[in-house]
Amino acid sequence: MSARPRIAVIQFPGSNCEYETARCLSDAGLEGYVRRWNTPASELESCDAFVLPGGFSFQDRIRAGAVAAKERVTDSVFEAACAGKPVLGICNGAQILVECGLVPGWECGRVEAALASNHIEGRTGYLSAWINVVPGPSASRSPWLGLASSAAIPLPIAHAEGRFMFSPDVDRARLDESLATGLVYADSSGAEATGYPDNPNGSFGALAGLLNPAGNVLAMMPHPERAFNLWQVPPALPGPWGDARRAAGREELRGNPGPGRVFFESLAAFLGVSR
Amino acid sequence: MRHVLAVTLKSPDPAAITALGALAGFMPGSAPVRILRYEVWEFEAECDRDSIVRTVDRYPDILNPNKQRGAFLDAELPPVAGDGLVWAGVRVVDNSSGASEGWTSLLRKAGTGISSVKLSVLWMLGYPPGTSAADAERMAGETAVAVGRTRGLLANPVSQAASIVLMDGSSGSDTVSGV
Repeated sequence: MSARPRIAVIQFPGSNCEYETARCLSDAGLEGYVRRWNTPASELESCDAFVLPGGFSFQDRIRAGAVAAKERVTDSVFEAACAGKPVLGICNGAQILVECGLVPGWECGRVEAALASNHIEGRTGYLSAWINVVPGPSASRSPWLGLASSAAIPLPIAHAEGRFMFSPDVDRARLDESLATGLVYADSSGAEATGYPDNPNGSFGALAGLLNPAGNVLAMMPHPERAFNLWQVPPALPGPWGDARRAAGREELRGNPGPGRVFFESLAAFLGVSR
Repeated sequence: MRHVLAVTLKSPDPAAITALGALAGFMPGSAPVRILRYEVWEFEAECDRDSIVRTVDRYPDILNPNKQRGAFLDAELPPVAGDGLVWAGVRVVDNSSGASEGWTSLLRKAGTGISSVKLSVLWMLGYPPGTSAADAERMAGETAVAVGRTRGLLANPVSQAASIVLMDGSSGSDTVSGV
């Protein structure tokens, strides 16, 4: 029987990244396992963390993430998050966490943000691309970001609704003061994005990931599971990760970590897994 | 001049069915017994309705006659079959819509005479016969905006605006292609 921490990856109808996400967790020294949305709550009580993977839960009907946020399984995720267990939402998972009111979580359970349709000068609509993110000012307290440095992390995005929005009285200072700024879009040098294409969707404050006040819940639009290994990095990518990819031989490509691994290894370190 | 086109699927709308099931599950006290969903295109134009119909005929992304039907609205709500249900509408508009801006730009450049396009979604919520208009309005209001996990569904409170429209029986419609 495994003593590794168990991480439930919740598969909703329309999720499409659950198995690679579970594999990343397992490769990071955890036990990632996929559980469907109709799994009884009693089967989820023993898990140590949750991941809501990317995809199109319920076909994005009504609004991306809106229906999954109301599902019974989400009660288990919500209760676990409130109890301090780590919860990660990737892309559609992030949309679900926003619709749950878990992030920014100033009033937990109240919907205080939106992931609206991409809309920025120069670009609108669905976008699939590699972008750079950097952790926010207090992100290192998060179980998902504890090992991340301040250097740019290149990750792929693929979404049409990824623009973080808040009510008009919220400014970037409030996000930073409330420790909500988890990840910020940046250029390849790590400087915060000021416009398209570094900020790919017009997100408020160039926000790519949002934390709850305790830091255990992270909603992020980029896909770290698609950058877990070095071979997943495009050879044409500028910056040190692209350099490493271009310089890698066949064996190095097979074994070397990619930039997305830090999220999963941070969780493993947080849960006491030694590598 | 303002022309409002309501487009709906000829087949049952999957989003409406999902919304019906979701509301019955987590807000049974306010859930309607039937939901219809319309995409509403609001055109501001110098041209007459026939010109708008010709434009709509040219763009199947507005109305695909193989799978959708449309009707111009002369009232706030489209007419619905007289099945005795009490209907209330919830109209949801994005606060900042790239789609509306994109269509405005496209149709302006195409020389259609259309100066602006505003897209929204209209959810028609049907309540059991005998429901008072006040109760229908209250229940529609409760379901309209997702203020929390267990309260509201159809609009996000930050990125969208929702308005409740009640059926007053004065609606009329003109049919466009595809019906």
